Amino acid sequence: MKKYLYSLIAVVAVFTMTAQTTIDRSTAPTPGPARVPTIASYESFELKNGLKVFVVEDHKLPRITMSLILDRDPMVEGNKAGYVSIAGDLIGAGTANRSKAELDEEVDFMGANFGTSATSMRMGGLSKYTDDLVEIMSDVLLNPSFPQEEFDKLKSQMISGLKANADDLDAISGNLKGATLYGLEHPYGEVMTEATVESITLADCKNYFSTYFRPNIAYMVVIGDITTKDAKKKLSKALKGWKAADVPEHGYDKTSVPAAGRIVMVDKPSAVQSVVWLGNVIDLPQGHPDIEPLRVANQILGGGMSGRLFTNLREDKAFTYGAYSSFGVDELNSTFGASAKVRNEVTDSAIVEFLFEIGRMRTEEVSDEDLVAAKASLSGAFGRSLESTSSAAGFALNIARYGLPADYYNNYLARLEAVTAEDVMRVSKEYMRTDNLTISIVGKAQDVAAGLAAFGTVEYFDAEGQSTDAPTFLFMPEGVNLETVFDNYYEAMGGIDALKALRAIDMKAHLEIPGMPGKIKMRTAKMVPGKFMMEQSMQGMTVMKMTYVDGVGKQSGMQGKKDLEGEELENLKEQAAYVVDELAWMEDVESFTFEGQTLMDGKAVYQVSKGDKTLYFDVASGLFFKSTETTETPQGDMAVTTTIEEWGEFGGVKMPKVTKQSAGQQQFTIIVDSVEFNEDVKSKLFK
Amino acid sequence: MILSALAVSTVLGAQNTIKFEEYDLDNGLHVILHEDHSTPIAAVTLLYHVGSKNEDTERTGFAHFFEHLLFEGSENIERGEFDSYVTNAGGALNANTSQDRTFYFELLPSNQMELGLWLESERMLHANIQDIGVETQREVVKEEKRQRVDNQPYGSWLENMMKRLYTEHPYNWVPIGSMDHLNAAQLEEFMAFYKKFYVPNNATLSIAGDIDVEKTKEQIAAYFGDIPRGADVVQPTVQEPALGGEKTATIYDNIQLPAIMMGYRMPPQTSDDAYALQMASSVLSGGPSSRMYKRLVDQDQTALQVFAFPFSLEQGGAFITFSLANAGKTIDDMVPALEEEISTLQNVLISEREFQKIQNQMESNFIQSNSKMAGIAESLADYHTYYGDANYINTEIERYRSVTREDIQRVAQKYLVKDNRVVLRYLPKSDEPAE
Repeated sequence: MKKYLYSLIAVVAVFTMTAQTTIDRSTAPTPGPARVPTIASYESFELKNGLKVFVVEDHKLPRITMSLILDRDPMVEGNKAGYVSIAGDLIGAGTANRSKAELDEEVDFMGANFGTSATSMRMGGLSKYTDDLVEIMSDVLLNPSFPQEEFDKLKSQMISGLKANADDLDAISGNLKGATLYGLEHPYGEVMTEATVESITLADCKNYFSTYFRPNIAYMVVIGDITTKDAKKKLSKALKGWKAADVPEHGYDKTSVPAAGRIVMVDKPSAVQSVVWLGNVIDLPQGHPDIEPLRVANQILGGGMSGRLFTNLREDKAFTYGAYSSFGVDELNSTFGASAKVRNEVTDSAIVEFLFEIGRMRTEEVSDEDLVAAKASLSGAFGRSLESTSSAAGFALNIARYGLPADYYNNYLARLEAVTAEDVMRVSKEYMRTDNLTISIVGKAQDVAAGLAAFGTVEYFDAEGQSTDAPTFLFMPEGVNLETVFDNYYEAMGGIDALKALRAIDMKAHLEIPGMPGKIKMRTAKMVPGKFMMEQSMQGMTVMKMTYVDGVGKQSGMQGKKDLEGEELENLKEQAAYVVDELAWMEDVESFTFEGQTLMDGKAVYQVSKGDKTLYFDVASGLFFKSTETTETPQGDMAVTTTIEEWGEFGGVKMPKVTKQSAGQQQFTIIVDSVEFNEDVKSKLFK
Repeated sequence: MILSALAVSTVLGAQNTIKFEEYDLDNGLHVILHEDHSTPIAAVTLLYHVGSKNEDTERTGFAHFFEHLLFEGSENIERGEFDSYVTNAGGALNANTSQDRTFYFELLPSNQMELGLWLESERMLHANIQDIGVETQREVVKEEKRQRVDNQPYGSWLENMMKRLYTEHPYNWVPIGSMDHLNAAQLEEFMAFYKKFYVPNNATLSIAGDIDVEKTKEQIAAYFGDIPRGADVVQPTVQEPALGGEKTATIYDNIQLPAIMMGYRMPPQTSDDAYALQMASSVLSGGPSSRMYKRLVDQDQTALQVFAFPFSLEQGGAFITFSLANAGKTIDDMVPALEEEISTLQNVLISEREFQKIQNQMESNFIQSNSKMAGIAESLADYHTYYGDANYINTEIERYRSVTREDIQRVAQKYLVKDNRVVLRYLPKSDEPAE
C-alpha cells in the first residue's frame, strides 16, 4: 500500500524532471582542489545473547534511530505465500503490556515513528525520549501478543492490497519478472495470491516469530545522538531476556544463468504505456572485483540522465520519460536489467534501442571521456551519500553480513579509479548479455504484440505469473470492410483483371508429411470454365485422381473407381469455375462477415468468417494468411487449420508456395514446385 | 506542559539554528547562503517564482514544460550537455514545478560549486530555446503524463479535484497542464514566457553546504551581476468566488478498490488558519493513533488507507481527505465515519492530551527536518519567496505553537464544511453504467 501513498504524494507535490572577478562564460569553470569525503566512524559490540550492535554517533541533531535487521536466508512460503509478511506486521500490533491502540498512542505522543517487518524493526525519535524508545522496542521484541483481531485485519488488508495491485503495472511487472526469471517455486519468484493469503493462520505467524526472531542472527544499528557506552548499557539491560536459539537455513541454490532468451508478456488492455524490462540473472557475488567495473559500465549505459539509454530513448527519440539500467548484487541471485515505460506504439522500437545500446557496450570500447565521466559521477554519488550517517551504518552492516574486508568501503574510490576501458568491455561481455535476455513487457497486447514477434515467440502470463494463452483482441479498424479486404487481397495477388484473365492452370506440388518417408506428388489443373483435375501419386503410382469435365465428376485410384455426385460433385464444380478459387467469393459476398482486426501468430490480421470457417488476411501485405474450420468426423469435431507459410510469384501472379495444413493431430505441408498458365496447359490432362 | 515546551525551545536554540546570510544583487536576484562544512558537498538551487498559476488559460502546462526546456542548453552549453557537466563533475541535478514555483538544483562536490553558478547563470541569461528542443520535450512531457497520470491508478484525482474546486483562479489546472495547449504553442510564445518570468528579479539563488561565503559572494556577482533586470512580475490576483455548495463527481478509473476524496478550499499557506488546518490534519490522520486512521482502518475496517492533509499553496489550496476502501467495502461504508470525524472536530474541543500529542509531532518533525544541505537550501528559498522571511526556517515552529485548541475547532467549523468542498468518488471502470 505504500506505493499509493507515494504516488499520491508525487502527484500532489510537484512534477519532477529527473534530472574571479572576470569570468569566461564560454567554458565551464575549473574546479578547486577536492576535499575527500570521510566515512563516519562506527563502533560495535556484541551482547551476551549474540546480538551484534553497531553504533554511529551523530550529535548534530537531537534524534536517534534504532534498526534491528535479521540476517535470515531467503525462504519459500509456498501455498501460504504472504505469511512472513503478515507476521512481520503483526509483531508490532500489540504486546502483553500494551494493546495496539496503546502502543500507537505512546509512539505518536512522542512524535516518534515505529515499524516492523518480517526481517526488521525500526524505532526513531527525538533523543530526549531514548529510554522510552528502547523500552517500547524491547517490549515488542520480548512480549508480542499476536492478537487474533489484528491478524484478521492484516489478512483482509493484504487481500485488499492484492486487489489494488491488479491494476498496478509495476507490481505486475515485478510478478512477471520473478516468475519467469526464478520460477514460481523460488523465494524470489513465488507470487502471493488471494488463495495463499486465505490459507495463512495465526499459528503460522507466531511460529515464524519464535523461529526466526533470534538475537544470534540479528544486527542492531543505532544512529544518532547517543554514545556507544550509553547504547551498550541501555540495550544490554533491555534485551537481556531475548534468548538465542538455532535458526533453520534453507540453502536455496543460485539460479543458473539461462542459456536462451525469452520474451514474456502480461496483457493489460487499459495500458497507455508499456512497462518494459530486459534483464537477467548474473553470477556476481558480494565483494567480487568485477563489481566496480560493472558499476562503471552500468553508469555509462544507463546510470542516469547522462546515460546512453536516457540520451537515446528520451532525449533523442522521445519514447519515454526516462530509461535506465541497473544491477543488483545479492547473495542468492544477482541481476542486471534495463527498463523504461514507453508509449504503446514504440514498444518494439524501444526494445531495438535497448538491444542496440547494450550490444554497443559489448563490442565498442568506451571512450576515455566516458570512462572519466562515469567514474566522477559514481565518486560524487558516493560522496553525497556520506552526508547521511546511515550510509556508514549500512557499510558496517554489509561488512559484517557478507564477510567483506574491514576497509572495503574505504577503498571503494581507489577501486573505482583503477577501472580501465578494457575492464568495462570485459564485464559488459560477461554480464550484459544480449543472447539470453528475458524481455518482459506489461502493456496493451493488442497494440504492441505484433511488433514484439520480431524478437521471438511471445509467452503470455497472467498478473500472478501463471502461464496463459495468447489474448485475442478483436476490434473494428476504421475504413476497413469486407469489400476492402477482398479488394486488397486480389490486388496483392496481381490485380483482379489479371486474375480474371487467367484461362487455365497446371500446378505441380509435393506433400511433406512428418514421419512419412516417401514423397507424395500432387498435380492440380483447371481449364475454365468447366474442367478440373487433381491427382496424387507416390513413386509413379496414382494414389487418387479426381476429374470434373463439363458436369461429370469421377474418382479413381487405389480405393477404386466411382462417379462423384452430391456435395462432392458440387465442390468440384466450384473448383472448376475460376483458375483462382477466391474469385468465386465475389458472387457470394453476403455469406461472408467481416469481424474486425486481431492478432494471429503475432501478425496483425483481418478476420472474416463464413459459416464455421474463419479466414485471416495479413494487414501488412493484404494476402490471405490462415483459415480455421471445424469439420465433423466420426471421432467428433476436428479443427482444420490452413496456413500459407510462403507466397511465390508465378507468371506475374502471386500464389501460395508453401501451405501448411493441420487436421486434428495430423499435419502436412504442400510445396508448389511449378505453375503453368493458359496455353501451356494441356487439355489431355482432363481425360 | 509549559515546562516541557520551554525545554524543547532550549534544545532548539542550542542545536538546530540554521545560520545564513542574504542579500539582493542590483538586478534584483535574491541570494541566500548557508555555510556548513560537515560534508564536502554544496547544493546550488535557483527558485523562479513562476508556476502553473502564472499561465495563460489557453497555454496551461507552460511552466512545467519550461522546466524541461531549460535543460536543453544555452549559448555556451551545447544541447544535451547540461546534465553531463553536472554528472561528470560528480554531481546530481534535477528540477520540479508546482502551482507556485519552478525549482532547479545541482548537488555538487563542494570544489565544483562554481560549476553550478555557471550553469544556472547560463540558464537565466541566455537559454537555448529552439524548435528541436521544443519538439522533443513535447513528446517527453506526454510520456511523463502517461506514466504519472494516465497509467497510474487514481492518478487523475488532483486534476479532477482542482478543476472543480477552483473555477476562476488558475489553481483550476495542475502543472502538467493540457497536451493540446502544448501542441498548439509556437516558439515565439516560449520565448516570451522566458523573457517574462526567467528574470533575476523573479528568482532566489540559495546555496547551502561546504562553501566560503565571501568567495561565493564574489563568484555570484561575477556570474549573475550583469544579467539584466526584467520587468516586475505580477502575481495573479484573481478573486475566486465562494464555492457556493458542494460539488460531487464520479470518476471511473482502472482501479479495483473504490476511493473517495473530499477537498475543501483552504486559505493561503502563510495564514494563521492554514497552520491550524495543518494541526487539524494531524489530529485526523497523523500516525496510527489518529482519529480517522484508528476509526476507519483499525476499528471499522472499511478503509485500507486514509489520510487528511493540507495541500497548501501560496494563494489557497485544498484540505484533502483521501480514503481508499478495503476489499468488499464501498464508498458509502466509509462516508459516515469520515463525516462524523469532521463533525466531532467541529463540535468538541480536542483534549489536552491529544493537543499535546499533536504539538509533540510538530516539534519532532521540525527538529528533524533540516538535516541535509539540499533541503536546507530549498527551505530557505521557499520561506523567502512565500513569507518574505528566510529565517522562518528557524522560527516557523512558533506559528504552530501559537495555534490553540480553539483555533483547531474554529477552522474545522469555518473551512471543513459541505458548502466549501468537492467530493470525488473513484470507482472501477467495471462499475460504469452502460450508455
